[in-house]
Amino acid sequence: MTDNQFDHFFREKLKDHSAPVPDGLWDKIRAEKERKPMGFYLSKKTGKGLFVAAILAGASLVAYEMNQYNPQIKETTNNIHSNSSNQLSTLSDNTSTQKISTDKNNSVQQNTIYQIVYDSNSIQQLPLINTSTSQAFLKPSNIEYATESNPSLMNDENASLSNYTASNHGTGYPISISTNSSNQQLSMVNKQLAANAHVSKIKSIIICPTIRGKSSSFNSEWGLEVFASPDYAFKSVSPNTAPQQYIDKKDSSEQMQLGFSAGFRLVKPLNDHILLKTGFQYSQINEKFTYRNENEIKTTTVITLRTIIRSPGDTIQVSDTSVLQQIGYSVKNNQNHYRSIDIPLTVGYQFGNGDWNFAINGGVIFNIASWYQGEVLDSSYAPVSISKSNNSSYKTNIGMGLYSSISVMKKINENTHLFFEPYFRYNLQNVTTEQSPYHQRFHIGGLAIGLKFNLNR
Amino acid sequence: MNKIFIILSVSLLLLLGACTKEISNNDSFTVYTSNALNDTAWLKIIQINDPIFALADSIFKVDILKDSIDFEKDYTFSFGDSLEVEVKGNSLVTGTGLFLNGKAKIEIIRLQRKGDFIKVFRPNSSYGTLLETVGGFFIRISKNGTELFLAPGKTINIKYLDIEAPKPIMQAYYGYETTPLPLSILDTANNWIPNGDTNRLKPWSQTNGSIVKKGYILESKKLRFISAAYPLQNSKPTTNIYAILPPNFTNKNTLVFAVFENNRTVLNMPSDYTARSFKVDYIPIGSKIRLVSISKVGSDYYLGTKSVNGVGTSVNYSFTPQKKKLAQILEYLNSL
Repeated sequence: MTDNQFDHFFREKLKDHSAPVPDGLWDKIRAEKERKPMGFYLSKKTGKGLFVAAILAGASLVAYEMNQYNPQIKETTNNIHSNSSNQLSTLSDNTSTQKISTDKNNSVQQNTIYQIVYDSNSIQQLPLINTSTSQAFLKPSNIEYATESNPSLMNDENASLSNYTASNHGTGYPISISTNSSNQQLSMVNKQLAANAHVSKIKSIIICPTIRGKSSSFNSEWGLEVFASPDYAFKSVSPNTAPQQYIDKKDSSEQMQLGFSAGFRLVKPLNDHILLKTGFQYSQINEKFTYRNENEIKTTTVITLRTIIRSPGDTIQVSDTSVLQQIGYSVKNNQNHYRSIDIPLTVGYQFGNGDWNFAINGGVIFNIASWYQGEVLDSSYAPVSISKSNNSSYKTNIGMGLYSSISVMKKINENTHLFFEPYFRYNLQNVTTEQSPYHQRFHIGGLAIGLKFNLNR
Repeated sequence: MNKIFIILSVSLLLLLGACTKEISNNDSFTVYTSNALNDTAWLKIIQINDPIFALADSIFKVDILKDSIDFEKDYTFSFGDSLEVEVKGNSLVTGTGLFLNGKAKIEIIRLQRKGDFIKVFRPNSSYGTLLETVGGFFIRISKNGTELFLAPGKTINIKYLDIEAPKPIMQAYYGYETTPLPLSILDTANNWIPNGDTNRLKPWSQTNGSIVKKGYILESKKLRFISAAYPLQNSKPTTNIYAILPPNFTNKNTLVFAVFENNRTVLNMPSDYTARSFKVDYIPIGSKIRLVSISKVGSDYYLGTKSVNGVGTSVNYSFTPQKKKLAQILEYLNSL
């Protein structure tokens, strides 16, 4: 008998086989279905829904992990097979009835008792006690059995037929076995049990949540996000003591440009969905300052060559170096920098399928330090420099701001995610002091791009 | 995975774009196209609306002595103790030869120093011959706006004290005008024409106590521009000299004069379009002169000076005018 024939036999025998499912599983599935749509939908019974969802997610994760071939899962399968083999070892020549009993946690066939009837030409397996609603029958067929795993059973292939009445195993039903095929039958049973174990290795295993699986209660993992972001600042300026004309002039001389932020955040998942983040980031707002200086004189050294006549017939070339003056306007461009160091503190809600995850985040940003460098117009509309040390108009700390973002994360490998996080920062305070002739405030939008590392792996 | 790398690359480019480079000192300069300072073009022919006409009018700041006379009486008018003008009765006629009755207005401009000849743009040359001028006058008599002239055979006597000791070789010159005052002060074709006789000016002196002041008696047969001068006699060879100014100063906005240090001679240096410079001929080699440029660029005035100790070793002189106030320029001219 080849392996294909053997597989074909069990495929034919088990194709209509069904296994019982644990009590309440369907209710859980139905509850899961009623949670549609996914994402931000929360039913009235949010707590129960989240709990059920967490269980389902945990089960799905375990099932997913079972599909992945890794040493941990392999070890579990071997245990199952071992239990089945141990059960087989209770069979003997005098045993005509067997109860296939395995660990409840191992197989859906755990509560099924088969009656196997042997005759000279066929084998029948009839259910004696079936605690589940489903039944399975092994239809008779003429099959030669060959197995490498139990060669000893094949040695008695030519033994004479005899009837055995096995001491019952609690049911009292006899098992009739024709003597000339008893060894074949035992071999077949052994194969069936092995097949059961093989089936259980593939599917139909419900694994109870492990401690890690109970992630809805607490998650001990830590993550680290490293990011950088192109930013664009939205500036609002209003007069304090300055006239509106100055504000207009200032507004026309300044143009916001792309800035950037960079930093890192520690990520603490409270559970599979709720994330706490805090870290350290540096931001720089860039502003182009353009000033038109009217009536500016530009001097250029020029060399001219002239032909002059000293007297009739006496012509000479004269080279002269002089200065050409030109009047016009110059446009002075300067780069203003508004820099800050901040500590963000955010809470996020994350969801997704593991490969792609999404999150919405909100929180606050505490400013540690701010400083400014560049040029602004003074009250006479002339450019004046501002610097970190020479500055009375701008604060050195702009206090707290609000932060909101949406994250899209793509799993790169087990430990790393690439994320894109469009965000908006709303500052609650002006960057200018009360002594400044105008109020100025920045709000920043950006796209943080970075990597998230799992620190527990 | 390729999409991720593309997105990552684009994002990195955005981030690099955010690291904006310093653009300080990236100033751009744009020339005003209609500003006079940027007009460096020379003209072959000066037009009446070019800035030098306004410049000539601006520096035409002279004292005009005004009075009235009776047509039928002899009158002598004294202006201080240094000038007396005697007008004979019935010596004035209209342009058509008519004698008039009543009174007329007399206006006198006295040209005493070299700067005065610059201010009225009357350089001291006669048909290219250099003149040393010891005094000049502009006398205009009019009635009801109609300018009068001396009747044939009539004269007007001008007695004046000079700032220098009189020279017995002076004679009268009359001004030739193409654009007579007050039409325009800038008459580029002006000339000094000799009186036509060989009479020298008689000396005139005034005694005030022990102080004796001397001058000339200029008996003129014509009104308007009159001067006492004589041709500079020079046996030395002559040369042309050039004044070269920066490109901002063109023949549209600049007047250049050659002022002799040792003679009371001022020469105009007309523009040489080909050489983009200002040129004057027949300057005796070895002359000690001072080149003076006066420019009006836009509303700004410029004064340039260049002292030449001895013409001849070089004939082209470069100098750069400096921006001055008009009063400063006039003050300078008065000091010449």
